[in-house]
Amino acid sequence: MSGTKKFPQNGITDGQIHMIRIGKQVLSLILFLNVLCMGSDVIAHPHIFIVQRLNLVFDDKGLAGFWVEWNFDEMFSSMIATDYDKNQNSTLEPAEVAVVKEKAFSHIAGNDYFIFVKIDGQPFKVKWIKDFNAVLKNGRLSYHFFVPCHVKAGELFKQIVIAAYDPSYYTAIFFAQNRPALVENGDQFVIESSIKEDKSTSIYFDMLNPWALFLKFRLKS
Amino acid sequence: MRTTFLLLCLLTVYIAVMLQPVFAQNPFISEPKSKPHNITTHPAAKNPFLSMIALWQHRLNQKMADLMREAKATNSMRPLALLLVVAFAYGVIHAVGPGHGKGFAISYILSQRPRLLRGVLFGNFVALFHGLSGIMFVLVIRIILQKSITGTLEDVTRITQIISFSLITCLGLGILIKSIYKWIKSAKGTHLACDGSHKRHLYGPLLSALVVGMIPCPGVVMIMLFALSMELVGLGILLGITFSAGMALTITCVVVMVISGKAISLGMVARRGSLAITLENLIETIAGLMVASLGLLFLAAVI
Repeated sequence: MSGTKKFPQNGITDGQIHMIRIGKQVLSLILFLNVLCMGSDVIAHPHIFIVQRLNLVFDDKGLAGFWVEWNFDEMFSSMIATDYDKNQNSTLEPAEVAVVKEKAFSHIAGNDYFIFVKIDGQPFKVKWIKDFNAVLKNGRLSYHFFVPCHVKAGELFKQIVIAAYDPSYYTAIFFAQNRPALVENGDQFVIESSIKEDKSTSIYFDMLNPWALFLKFRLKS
Repeated sequence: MRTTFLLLCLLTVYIAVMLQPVFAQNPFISEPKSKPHNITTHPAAKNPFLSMIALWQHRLNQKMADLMREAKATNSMRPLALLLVVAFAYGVIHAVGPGHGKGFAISYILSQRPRLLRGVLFGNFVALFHGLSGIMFVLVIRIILQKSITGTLEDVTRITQIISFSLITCLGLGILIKSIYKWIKSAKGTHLACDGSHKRHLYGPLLSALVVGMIPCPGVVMIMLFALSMELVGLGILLGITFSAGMALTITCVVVMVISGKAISLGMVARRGSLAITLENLIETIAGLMVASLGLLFLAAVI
């Protein structure tokens, strides 16, 4: 068969073998990339775990704000208790609560207290909170605070999205499975709600969508 | 050759983009720094794997706390076996997430030609030092100095980070300079042998691992503190070590994957001896650059 292109026994040309070889190299490099990405030095992964409950408070006009209850894991709780329960009586007295607020809560103010609200799609910045309290009960620490967020109800639905997350992902915040959200004084309004991932928001290098409470309310006709 | 070079260039660019210096310290107890947080409002592919890791860590953390309480309340060692299993699993999963020096370990391994055993030792040492420094930190601060953990943890973490990242930068620069020297030598016509006499080992895995793993692991710190709060110091140390052993397994798996990946890639071009040497030198140069860059970037982030 002189003058014709030489085919190996399996029918693959040299060019194809070369391509396969390059393909293998590419696959190897992809393996490297995956391993490297997995091991990228983003020194933050959850070290603190919070189970959260929200209590939505309505007044005559509409939403007045919401209470946030954060229940910490026992290990972080013991860290705070060791340092700030000065008399070691397993409860936090008002003076101790004030220290906890200053030393182990106020730092997150710069991160909107980890509470990210959207009203009809527009971000609402949580600049301040009120009535902070820290409770130590059976070795478990919980924080309670109120986020003022006035949204007047109308004939049409207002949509509020409340997500709680630590953008650095040092803390993982989960909604409680049991009673994750409650409504107070909401009799005058038609209220619909659901808890799901907020797919319009991505955190932590676009790797996660935070869980959020989606709330819709309007005046009863 | 051109393809390989192009791919390696792409790899470098990709890594440079991917590795961003973000050091999240405990947000509740640390002073806020500049906001490096990556929040976007465009839809992105969620990472169910990462969510799953977080959820499992939460469950294991809770289980560990429950079992430790049970051990304390019943004053028995019965829950110990399960507790050790849980601590180990917690360590494995904890290290699967980002961080724990895996990026440095990978870059360093890529820059060397370690035997598998040495690579495995290196991976184990990184995790063990990371965990042991957490145990030592709590013992020294709480028992010997009797100081508060929350403030001190931040200070100690920062100091060890500065030391660690400075040494890592030096290590990376050393690898890079050595590699550049080889290129120059090669360009001058002194060809490197490809008969196996051209050997590169993982020098001082213990010391390199110490440099990478010296920053106290916050996970171990929390386990130790919890144990201390129940006056179970011995159990805390045991669990801290078991947790570190779990992390060691994960980090070692990653290191073995890298060693194997590198060996496969080089094996593909092994028949073309000079190409294999060039490729390996290229990997060494890029890895050295990566180690140095990572060290510098992270150093800049903590200073």
